[in-house]
Amino acid sequence: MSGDLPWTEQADVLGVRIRAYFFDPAEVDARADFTARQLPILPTSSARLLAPVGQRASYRAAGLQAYPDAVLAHGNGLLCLTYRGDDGRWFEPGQWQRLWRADLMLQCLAAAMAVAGQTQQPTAALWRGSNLLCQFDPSPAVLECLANNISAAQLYWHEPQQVSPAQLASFCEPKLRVLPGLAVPAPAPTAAAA
Amino acid sequence: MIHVQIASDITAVGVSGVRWVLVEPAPQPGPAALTPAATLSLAHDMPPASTEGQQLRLGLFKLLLVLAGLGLALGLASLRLGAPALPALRGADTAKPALPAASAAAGMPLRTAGLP
Repeated sequence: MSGDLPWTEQADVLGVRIRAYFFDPAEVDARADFTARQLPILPTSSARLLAPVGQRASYRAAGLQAYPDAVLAHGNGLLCLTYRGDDGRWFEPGQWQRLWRADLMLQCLAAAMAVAGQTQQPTAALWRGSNLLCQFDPSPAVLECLANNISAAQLYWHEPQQVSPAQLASFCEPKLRVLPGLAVPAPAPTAAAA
Repeated sequence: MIHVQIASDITAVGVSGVRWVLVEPAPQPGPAALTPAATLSLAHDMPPASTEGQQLRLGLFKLLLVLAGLGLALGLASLRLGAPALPALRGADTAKPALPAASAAAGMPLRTAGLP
């Protein structure tokens, strides 16, 4: 497992390496600090919110416009966190890929691209579910697919001004599924200790 | 091009590893990209052309047509009938020789046929 954070599992899905951290929501959701509650894998006060809780700022890169749930400054870069829109599903370690939504993952990446494009800072894409926190590491093919299809998604969705991360993700997901090398089934998740 | 950097990993103190991609800036919407409603609105915003200007342009166009027709007619006539022979256009070399003076003609003896 990369880095110094205690990720529980990791897996490659559709050209994206997913690092997953399972937590006990009963304990984590009771925390008062926003960062400790939404990013339980991080040490307390290591990340700082750029906007007040609940206020979603707009970020734009080319024709892509995003309103991420939270953007935090974290050392030399930014964290783009999505935690709303979760349907409350419960993920089990070792079996979470069966319930995984690739479009949600691509949506998080597209939002992080908008943040990175506007701020010109390296930005990490994260998603927080009921009992799971994920960080996404996209392959170059996935990044290029998202970046090169913004104009095409605008035309497809009849959005001449801007396209949302959800629209871009749903437009690119079928293309990624047929890309050579990405269409193969993802391997089983590996344990953190492995 | 917009430089987009996605961090490939996070640590306790920051982000690490950067994957980057270039995103083409969004093109500014031109007239071809405008919707019909926008084009209509744009047309409504344009000031109407002045009537006096239109009449002046029409008069100039008519004058040009007349001059062109006149030039064409003169050219065709010159081809068919030759160069114009107006007295004012004659030069000294091209003047016809003068007729003999009437006095000289009058001074010549008239010959009469002999009577039978």
